[in-house]
Amino acid sequence: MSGSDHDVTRLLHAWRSGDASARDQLLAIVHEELRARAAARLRRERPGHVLQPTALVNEAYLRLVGQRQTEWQNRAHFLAVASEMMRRILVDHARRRKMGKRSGGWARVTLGEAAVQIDPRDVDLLDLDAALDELASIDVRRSRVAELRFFGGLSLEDVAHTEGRSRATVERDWLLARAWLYRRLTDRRDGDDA
Amino acid sequence: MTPERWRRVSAMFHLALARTSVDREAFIADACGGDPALQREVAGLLSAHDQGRGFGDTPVGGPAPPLARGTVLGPYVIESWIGAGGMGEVYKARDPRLDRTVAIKMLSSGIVNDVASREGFVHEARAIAALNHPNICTLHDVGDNYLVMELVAGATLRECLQRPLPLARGLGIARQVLAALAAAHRGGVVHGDLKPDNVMVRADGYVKVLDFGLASWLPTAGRIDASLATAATDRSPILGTIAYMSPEQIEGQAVDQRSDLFAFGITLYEILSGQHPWPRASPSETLLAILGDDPAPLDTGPDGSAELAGVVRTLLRKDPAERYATAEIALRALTTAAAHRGSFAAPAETLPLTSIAVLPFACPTDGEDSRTLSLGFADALVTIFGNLQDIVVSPTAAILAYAADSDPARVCRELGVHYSLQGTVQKLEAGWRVSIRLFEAVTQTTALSEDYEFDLAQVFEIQDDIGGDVVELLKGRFASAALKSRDRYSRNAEAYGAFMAGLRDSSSDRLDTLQHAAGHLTKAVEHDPEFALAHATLSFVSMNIHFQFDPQNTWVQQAEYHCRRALALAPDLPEVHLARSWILWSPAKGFQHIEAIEALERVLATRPHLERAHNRMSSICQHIGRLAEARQAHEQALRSNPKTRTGNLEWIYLMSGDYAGAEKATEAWYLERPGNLYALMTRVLPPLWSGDLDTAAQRLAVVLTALPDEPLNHSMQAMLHARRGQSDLALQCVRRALESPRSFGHTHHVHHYIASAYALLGDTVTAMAWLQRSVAGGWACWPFFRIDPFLENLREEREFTRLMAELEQTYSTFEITRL
Repeated sequence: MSGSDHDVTRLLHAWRSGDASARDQLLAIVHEELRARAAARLRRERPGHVLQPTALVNEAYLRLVGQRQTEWQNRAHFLAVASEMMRRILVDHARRRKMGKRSGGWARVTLGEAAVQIDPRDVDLLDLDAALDELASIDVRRSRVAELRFFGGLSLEDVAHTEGRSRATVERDWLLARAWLYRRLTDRRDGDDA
Repeated sequence: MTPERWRRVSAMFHLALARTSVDREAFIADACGGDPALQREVAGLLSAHDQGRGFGDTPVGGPAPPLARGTVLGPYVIESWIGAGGMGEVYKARDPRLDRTVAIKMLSSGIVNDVASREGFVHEARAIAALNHPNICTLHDVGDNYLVMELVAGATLRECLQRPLPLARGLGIARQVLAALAAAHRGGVVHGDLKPDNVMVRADGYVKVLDFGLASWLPTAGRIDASLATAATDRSPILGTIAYMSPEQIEGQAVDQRSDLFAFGITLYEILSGQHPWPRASPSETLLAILGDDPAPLDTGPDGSAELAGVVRTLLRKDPAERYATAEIALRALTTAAAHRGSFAAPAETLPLTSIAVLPFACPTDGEDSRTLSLGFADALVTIFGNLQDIVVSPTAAILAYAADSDPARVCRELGVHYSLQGTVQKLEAGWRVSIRLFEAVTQTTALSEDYEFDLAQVFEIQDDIGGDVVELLKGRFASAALKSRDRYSRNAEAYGAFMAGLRDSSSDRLDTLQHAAGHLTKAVEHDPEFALAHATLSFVSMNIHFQFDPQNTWVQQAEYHCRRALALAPDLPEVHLARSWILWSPAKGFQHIEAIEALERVLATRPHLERAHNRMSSICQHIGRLAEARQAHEQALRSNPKTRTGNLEWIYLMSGDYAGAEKATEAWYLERPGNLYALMTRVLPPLWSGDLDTAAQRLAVVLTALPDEPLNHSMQAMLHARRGQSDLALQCVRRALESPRSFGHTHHVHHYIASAYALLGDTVTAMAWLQRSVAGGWACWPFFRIDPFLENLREEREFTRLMAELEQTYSTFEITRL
């Protein structure tokens, strides 16, 4: 393990008080932890089994920050860092896998119940990644909100907290980002089929 | 896309979202005028918004995949996934041996092995399974990694608490929870994890407490972690899972039944006030607060009773020895306190109500006759059931949204009713056949299924027969002698057909549809000038067009004419008095409060659960300062239709000076119906009156964009400027409010706000004159005028005190009997 409880907690505090370098150090520690755990998990996983990144992130939190450390703000900030890392790890993995053989829906995103009229219901992770990048080129802020939701499972409150904006603003950002991504992803799929 | 372009797209998208879906298309076309590419882009995003709801609510990878239908688990067969509980996934399953449907709770791996090997496990499981009480969800069986229990259909108390719970209903739930605790404690079982998520409330108001004793199988530390973990990722807008542990539980000491009483105290606190007694930024801080802090003083709203607050205080004592010794004693204390509470709750509310929805009947053969019969049967039955005392029927307006072949379970769930009645009308070679099916939500079974054959001349008799059969099965009691369908409708087939066509459109909130309705109803009374119900309905529709859309006096004249005709033909028809009350309580008639209340009382005498009459009663009571009755009428409307949504509750809070309550209610309303214009306007008021001027200004800006020529908005802006001491701007807004071309039913509120602006600016004479005008125009909420923060400068004026005394004299003395 690259950082003790104490280190990560201290870095989280430092970041929250505005120390940008603390965030970089955190990223390194969290990335190392998540990468190792995800790799181990993916090796063990049966084909077709669903990897649960949010579960993974939670485990990493408990390992790095510890069970007794229960400050909610720390946790939200941790999740924010972790979701960025998780996205990188999952996308890398999906890419390698795609090069090897085309298969498996282990890294797919459900569109949720409301979208049953659209079929197939799943979105490819690489498409989502590309769409997020494209959105970021127009609007970094909203792309970030979507990233936190998709890869960290952060609630709107948590996003508001880590991004330092009001919940109302974050909700508006999310609605727009969601609509934009949904449209981009469903359009693209139609294109593929044609 | 350029940043500038994206900003425009983004702005349009959000502006369009603030409108109702009906208005959106026109708005975009208008706002993007001349830029078809922009219009396409925005329209595309809006449609993606509608289709993509829920997208991203589950993060990548999502929750573990549920067990498939048909999976065999011991003797049980999985039917469907119900949800995820604190311990694991929950499924609906079938026990083929007993032919019984059950709920199966899967246990996360690890728990069972740990637990089953524990000493005393079998003994504990037996004790739990032996609990037999109507308010306890029974544990049937324990499998390798799953528990089997009674299947309960309903909503969790947590879900019920998402919006304010009528006091009497909340207390009814609390009493049943305590009764369950008392029974379990007698059987030697401590719940150990009581919280609103573990209390199910069935559609009929019956309560079942889940998961008795199961908490003892989990280590406490694990539960603290689980609760913290869910809180961090919880998506519910309020607080998520928060701690319901007693101090002794948090400290890891021995736990007994008094620990359950503490958890019940927190739950009761939430029922009464809508919030946790230790609201903190994080669950861990809440846990600390439970150990060390006193709970926030209980705010039970304007109807608060000191005794109830005392019961809660005793339940929430940190030292178990200071709490009630047993659940029975607590139950007695709660019952006594509830009996002594304020005047808000109607005693009748303690009776359980049954509710039913009647869908338009299906007609496989197309044709005018069939369409008429489809709604004709439904309306006749809605009317028959509407006359029952102890049965609530969904109004015709609510059922029109459903297709005849809708899934009855879904209908019951969505309308929150106990039964749904569906039917099919078929043309035979000679005559017709109607088949009905009554579905019961709790048992998920068909309670009644019948065929009736008839010819068209007997259609009304058949309707009464069907009604009678269902009423008998439901053991309903009529509020008054039932009117025969034959006497209610017309025997003239054309008149009957035109009436049904008009009725179908009469509940719309769109002008063109209402105009169609008026057209059909006019035809109905032309074909049969003696058709009282058609006259009454036409009167009602005309008044709605007038009130909502078209200030032209001709609509009022038409409404009055047909109301008079209907009254002469059928003086007891409730629809006539409903129409009459709508005329009496209108700007054109100067809001005749007392007369309108009397008319509504006549309606409620025969239609005790007519939601729209209760809602209107609530509005009128607010206008004359009868806030307790306004509250009671609102609760009755909620009881008749749990989905009723008006601004009444929000205004009751405002007029009681409870701005925090109003804020919570208006925001909930706004989130639920972001496009509702009344919600948009109302949400300006809580921050404005409580002094959070920046928030008020922001919200005002939003509603001014949506409704730029609404005088109410300009008058609210006048108050805001006056409150900030910007007198020039305030007066400018007053002028704008008065010059606005948009005439609106509620000008009397504009006058109140103008009075407030002048009062704030220190011009008490002008302020007093506007206040008089507001009162003369029908807005006479004197209890609020006496505490209105913006009328402070008037309070000492002799004229003001005299006006208040006069209003109190006029409006506080007469009795309102039907609530």
